[in-house]
Amino acid sequence: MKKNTGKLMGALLILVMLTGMLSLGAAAESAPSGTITVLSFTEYHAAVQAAIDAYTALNPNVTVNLEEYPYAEYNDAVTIKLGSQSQDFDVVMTDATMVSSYAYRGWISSMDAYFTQDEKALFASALVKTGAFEGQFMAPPLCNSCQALFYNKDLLDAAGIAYPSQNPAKRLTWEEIVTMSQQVMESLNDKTIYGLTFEQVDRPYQILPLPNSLGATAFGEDGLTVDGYLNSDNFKKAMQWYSDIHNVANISPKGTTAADSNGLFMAGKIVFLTGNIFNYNTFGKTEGLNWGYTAFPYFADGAAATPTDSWHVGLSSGSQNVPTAVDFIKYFTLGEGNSIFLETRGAFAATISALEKYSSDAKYDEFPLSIFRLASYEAQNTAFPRPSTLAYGEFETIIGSTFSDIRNGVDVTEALDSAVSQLDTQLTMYQ
Amino acid sequence: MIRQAQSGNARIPKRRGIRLEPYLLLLPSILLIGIFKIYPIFYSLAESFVKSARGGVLRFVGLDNYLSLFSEPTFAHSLGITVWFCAVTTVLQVVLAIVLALFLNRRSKAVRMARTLIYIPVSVSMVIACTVWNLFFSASTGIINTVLSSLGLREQPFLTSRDQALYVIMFVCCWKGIPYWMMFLLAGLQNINASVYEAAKLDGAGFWTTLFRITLPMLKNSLVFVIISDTLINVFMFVPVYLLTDGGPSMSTDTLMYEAYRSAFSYGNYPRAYALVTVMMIIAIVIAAVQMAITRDNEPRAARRVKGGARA
Repeated sequence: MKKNTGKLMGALLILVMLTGMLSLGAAAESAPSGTITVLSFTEYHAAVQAAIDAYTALNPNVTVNLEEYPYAEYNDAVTIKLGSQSQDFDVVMTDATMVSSYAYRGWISSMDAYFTQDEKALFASALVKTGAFEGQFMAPPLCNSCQALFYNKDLLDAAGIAYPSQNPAKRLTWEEIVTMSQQVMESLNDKTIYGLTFEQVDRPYQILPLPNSLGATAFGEDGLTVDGYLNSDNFKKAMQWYSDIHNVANISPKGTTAADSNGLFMAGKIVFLTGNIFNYNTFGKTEGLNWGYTAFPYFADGAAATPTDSWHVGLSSGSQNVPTAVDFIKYFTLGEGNSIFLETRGAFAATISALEKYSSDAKYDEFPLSIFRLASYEAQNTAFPRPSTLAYGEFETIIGSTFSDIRNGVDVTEALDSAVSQLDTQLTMYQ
Repeated sequence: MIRQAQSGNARIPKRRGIRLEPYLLLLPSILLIGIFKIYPIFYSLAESFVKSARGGVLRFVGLDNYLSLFSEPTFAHSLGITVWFCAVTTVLQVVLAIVLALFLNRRSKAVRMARTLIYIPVSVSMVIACTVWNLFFSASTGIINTVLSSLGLREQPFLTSRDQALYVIMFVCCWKGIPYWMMFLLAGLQNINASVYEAAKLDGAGFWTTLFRITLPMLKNSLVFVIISDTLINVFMFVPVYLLTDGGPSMSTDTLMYEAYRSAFSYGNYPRAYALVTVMMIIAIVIAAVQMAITRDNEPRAARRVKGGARA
């Protein structure tokens, strides 16, 4: 009996030791290690790199490669890389509008298995919906965004015009901006100074709010119909205004690109600039620039529609190191990495706890950080995201050329009808 | 003699034996051409018969991609732009290359210098050329408009005008293409025996008679090569559109090649892009076949003319 008991104890001991070794092995297996590659864009370099540096300091067994492309070419680069089913990437920065498209094509994997309900609840609920496709959580949000109207105080002073209020209830109308711009341009009589430009000139993110303000949208409810929407009367009316500021009132410069807008504003050549709130960071460091901000404008016979949208982080379907990629994504969107990213970039947060800080933390009482208070207000009251469609990539390319044509004076109806025809061709792929 | 014949006969079986060296020497080229030229053609062809569905799954759809392509207004529009661009640019490039080659087919220091200067655009990459010409043709800050303005002339929209943009691209292509093709024609001209011109001169032939009866017929081989190659290059022209206009304004420079690029890399619609590229390839083959047939038909006629002339 004693012998048997001894044998039994010995067997149990071996079992316990084996279990311990196995669990140690499993722990070693699940600990992040190896190499992952993040696909991102150059404009976010400093902030993404700062988060990566902090992550690799915490996880010395991990190497994170960062592959970047300029924002203007980012969508094309992702289409080429992920479309060729490349296994070279693990983590993909994903624009909110592209989540459904990448998911539909099978380029990014579902994150449902890696994010618990409690973890998802840490994000603003609207952004969880944006990061989902057909009920599956595909990409957690990294940051939100919001647009404001920046102005040059010195130029307004020169024309004797009072600064616009920071109160969103007293936001300017587009019509008022035209009048004020003309006043400044007339009083300065300097051909190099313009009244208004858009940080993202010709891109839907900042131009769509014009028709949105008049109640017009680019797509129907199904996200696959453009005829009757993109060429509706109110859409045309808003685009006519966009054409007129460049070709009739001449308050906006032609021949410039999105890469030029901020430089022109910082050089004191633009009175009003619509731009992302994170610009406060750069403008604040620009010597000689005396600037202020106000809420995003609207049309007098319309309603406020503020461009708001988020960036998300996707797990590439071709990832060869899923555990580490998921660990990094969590660190980047929910962990310390997210705070580092937001701080470095000056970006608008996507998590509820960070959003709450904007109203509770006293540092957001003062200019320029008070711009985050405005962004919080806009996010809750006037936010108007870009259209939700599987064909956003196609839409962005075609509508970008259309906006550019309209800016160059092409007839608005003709330009929008042509865009509808081109989009109808591309949308058949999803119908 | 008999011994020589015997030894000659003894060598015959050796000649008939398979010699591997030529094939081994050709093998790397054949492999590279196969991998980088032939395989992509068949790959595009095969992929043009499938459609990408949900999750990137491919399914066979037969000729659907082609049928929907032919029903698109965008395709018809791009085909029109491509044909017009190709016709105008090829004619301009070939005619001006002939004129330049004739002008530079002399022996003098000044001509040698001019030849070098004229050839400079060929050594500049198309990307750099487009970037530089973009600075010249910019509507708001371009050098050309600055000059026009200083002369009191009306500034031009150039690349921002749908009536002018394609012609600006044609200009850039000609600027680079004319000197390139000129060199082939110049080499062809220098192969023509000077005694032929001397004989023509003695017979009292003038400039035009010499040009159309001697120079161009004897330049035929070079000319056929230049016309066919130039046409094919113009059918597949891409870089200037990509760098200067992005297919705009109002799709006025949206060639088939650019549409194929957009379809693949901006829209992610690869099957449509493969169908477009296959159609372009068929167009190119037809153009080359027609051009070769025309020049082959002319050969006996020209030969007959020479013989008839000799008889007379």
